[in-house]
Amino acid sequence: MTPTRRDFLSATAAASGLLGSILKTGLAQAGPAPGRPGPRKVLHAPNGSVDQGRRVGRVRVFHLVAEPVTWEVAPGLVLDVWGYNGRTPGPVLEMTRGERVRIYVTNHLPESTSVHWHGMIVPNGMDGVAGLTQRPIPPGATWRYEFVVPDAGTFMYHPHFDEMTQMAMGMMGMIVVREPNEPRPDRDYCYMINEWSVKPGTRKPDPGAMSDFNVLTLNGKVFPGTEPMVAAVGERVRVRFGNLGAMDHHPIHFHGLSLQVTATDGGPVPLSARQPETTTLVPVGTVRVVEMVPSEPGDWPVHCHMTHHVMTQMGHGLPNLLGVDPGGTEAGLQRHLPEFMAMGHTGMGGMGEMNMAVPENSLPMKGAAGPFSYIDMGGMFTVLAVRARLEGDAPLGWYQHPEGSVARPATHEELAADGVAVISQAP
Amino acid sequence: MRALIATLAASVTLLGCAPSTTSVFTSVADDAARRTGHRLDWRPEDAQEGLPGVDLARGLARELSSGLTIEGAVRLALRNAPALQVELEQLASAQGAYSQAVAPTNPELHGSVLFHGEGHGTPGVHLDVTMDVLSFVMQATSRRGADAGLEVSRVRALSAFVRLVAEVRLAMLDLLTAERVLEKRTAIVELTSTTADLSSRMRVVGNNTVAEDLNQRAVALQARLDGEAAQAVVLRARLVVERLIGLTGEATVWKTRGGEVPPDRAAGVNRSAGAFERQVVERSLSLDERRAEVQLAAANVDRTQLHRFLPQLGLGVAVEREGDAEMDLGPAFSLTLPIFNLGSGAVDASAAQLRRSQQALTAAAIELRAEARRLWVEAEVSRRRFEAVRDELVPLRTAALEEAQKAYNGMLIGAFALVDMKVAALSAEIALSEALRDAAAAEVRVEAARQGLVLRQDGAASHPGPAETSNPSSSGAGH
Ligand SMILES: [Cu+2]
Repeated sequence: MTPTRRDFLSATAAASGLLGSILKTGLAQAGPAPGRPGPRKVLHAPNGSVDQGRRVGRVRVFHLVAEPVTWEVAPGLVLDVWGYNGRTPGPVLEMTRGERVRIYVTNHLPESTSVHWHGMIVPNGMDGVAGLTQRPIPPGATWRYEFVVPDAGTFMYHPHFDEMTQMAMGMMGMIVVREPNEPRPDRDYCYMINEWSVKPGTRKPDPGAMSDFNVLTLNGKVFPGTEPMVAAVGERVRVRFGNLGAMDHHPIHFHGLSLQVTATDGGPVPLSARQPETTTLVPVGTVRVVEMVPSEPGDWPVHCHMTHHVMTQMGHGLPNLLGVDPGGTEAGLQRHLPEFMAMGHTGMGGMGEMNMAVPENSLPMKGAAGPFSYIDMGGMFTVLAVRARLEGDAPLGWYQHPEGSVARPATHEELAADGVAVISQAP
Repeated sequence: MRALIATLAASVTLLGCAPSTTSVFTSVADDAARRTGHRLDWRPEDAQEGLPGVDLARGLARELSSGLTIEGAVRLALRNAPALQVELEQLASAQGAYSQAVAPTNPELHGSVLFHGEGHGTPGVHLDVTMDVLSFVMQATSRRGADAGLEVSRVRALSAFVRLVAEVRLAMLDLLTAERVLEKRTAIVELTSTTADLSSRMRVVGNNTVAEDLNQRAVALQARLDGEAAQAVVLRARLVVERLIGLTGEATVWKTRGGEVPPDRAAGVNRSAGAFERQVVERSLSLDERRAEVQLAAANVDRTQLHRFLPQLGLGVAVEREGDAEMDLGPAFSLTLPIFNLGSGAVDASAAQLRRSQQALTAAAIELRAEARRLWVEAEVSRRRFEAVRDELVPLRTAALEEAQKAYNGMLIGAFALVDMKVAALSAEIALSEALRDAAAAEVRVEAARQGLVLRQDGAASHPGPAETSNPSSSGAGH
């Protein structure tokens, strides 16, 4: 790291000092219980960072360093990836429409790169497409992009040189452009979606993968590494999703509320075109901005609805043992394989909970302990913690349900009273 | 006359010096003990019985009931092996032949009685006693020949002894290894029959295809066939041990003791190839035998040269008495005149035989040196292979199995793949047992060579080639 860059990073951290504290809290916590409420009306990238650059005269100056990064996607899985400014995705670049921005790009990768400002209508020579609109940025070089920010909205940045490798390795980030003096929502969250192919027990994502993506990340994290979002009942919440994964579109589903898509990377969606949803599909190469006003307090899941996208490093092509009577086979194999355990005969729930030894640096089937029991989901799963009121900055912890508002076993009396016949009742 | 009596006396003295059967046997036994550390036991009394003596049978029963170790089997074989007694009787027989060869020819008495006409009184008597003088002159030569003959028998008895020790050790190595291999094969049979069971249970509830199920059954069947083959190898190895020790009938109910071949049997003695080669040549029994043959041929040359000019010479005393007259006494002699047969053919033949035996000795020494280097190389190669399998292959397979278990825990691989890895680990252990056997067998051959005997590689004690049992791809693992 050069002194210049360290200076730059500390300036960045100062500009978004609150993020630092939230990040530290998130890392210190073992479980995924909701953290601190944090300030309102500021842009927040859970597990990520927001970079507002710094003013030099009338120009906003950013510095992106493309470089190899050691990245933890969740405790137990650390990857060797490529990113910007020490992370993947890179920092959210926050800027205002109409201002002049100058973005320096230093290439510390072993190969050339370029940066494309996805969705932003900039002069053609600033579009960042190696070969077509510029020469590639060679390793070791620092290049300069400069343009006047044309439109407000949510955009993305990523290389347009060896796209398959560099994006598979994590080179991407979000851009948020505000109107001058625009009204802000109470909560403004920003997520970059990516997908990785990492053989359990390895550290390097496979850039050649086309279908076996087994690590699906929100801002570079899988559950339980994902930091929950926080909102109070009645607050307007905006969540911006950008998807630069290689192959997969993601139906992102919110529990406990109704939402509308208010903008894409092409601009705002006209009011007349908006419709109520609980799930929004975020296709590859697009941005979807959704807004909602939660009315019910609780810990509400937010997740991709593709079931394989809420599993981390799931094995495939295994013998299907569901419904098979293992008979004496378990004991038979244990004679020669003492650690053997018959698995999958009744289903696979709670497998991650058993804490059996798995290949080092891997999270197969891992979820996390929840307030009631083990949460089997991993991958693209997080929580929107909605509370009646948010006061102070103390950690929220799990939602405390009002007496009698949680599902429970039915009593014999209740069953009898409602005429529901059951053969037996499990304890 | 006086000289004649002195010669007779000397020959009697020499006769007294001929080694007794017991002393010959003792010298062979001492040599055997020096070479192998085991005692040689000559039991002529067993020959009449045709069966082991009572004491021996008790010893056998005790040794067999506690289980046979490698050295236990050697002890038993040395006490009991009929083939060894055959060689020892051969030695006894050679010793008899030796005494015969060095004994002088007995005197010959020729006599005649002449009756005169009727009423002419006492008949005339003519007697002469002659001795083959050449047998005295040739005493040293005969002795050299007899020495050589006895030496050949002595060497053969020793060779039989060393060979028996080595062959029993090799056979026990084969047996102990075959038993370990059978254990691993049995484990593979149990594992694959369990996965075949699991597969059929999957089939019942519609979770796998007919083809997948057939494959698992074939894998299990292949493993079972391999297991039965391993069992047959054990039975054959037992038969070899029983043949060498001479176990029959009830004595064939026995077991081994101690499990695995002790790994120190594969540990090479710290030696250089050169030192080992010298040692093998110095102690070689086959070279001793060749040298004895040279001695025999040299003695034969002396004999034929002497006989060439003097095929036969008898000297003695003649006595004659005519009627009642005084007895007349005078010297007697007889000789064969070398007129028609000058014996040059026999001399040439014996000289050629001598040269031939000398050449054979040289050739044998050269071949022996080559064999010694071959043994040394084979011991080194097989020991290194054993160490590599032990220190590298087995730990690798073990670690891979541990990783496979972790992958199974994470549901990254299934039970069938896990069992495949276990089978691969067991196959590595089989390879280890076989590599240990090969290294230990090479050491046995090296040891035998240092005791004087280079075993033929294709000899009765050779073991089945590793290709039959050590190839993991034949394990039926269905990788
Ligand atoms: Cu998805």
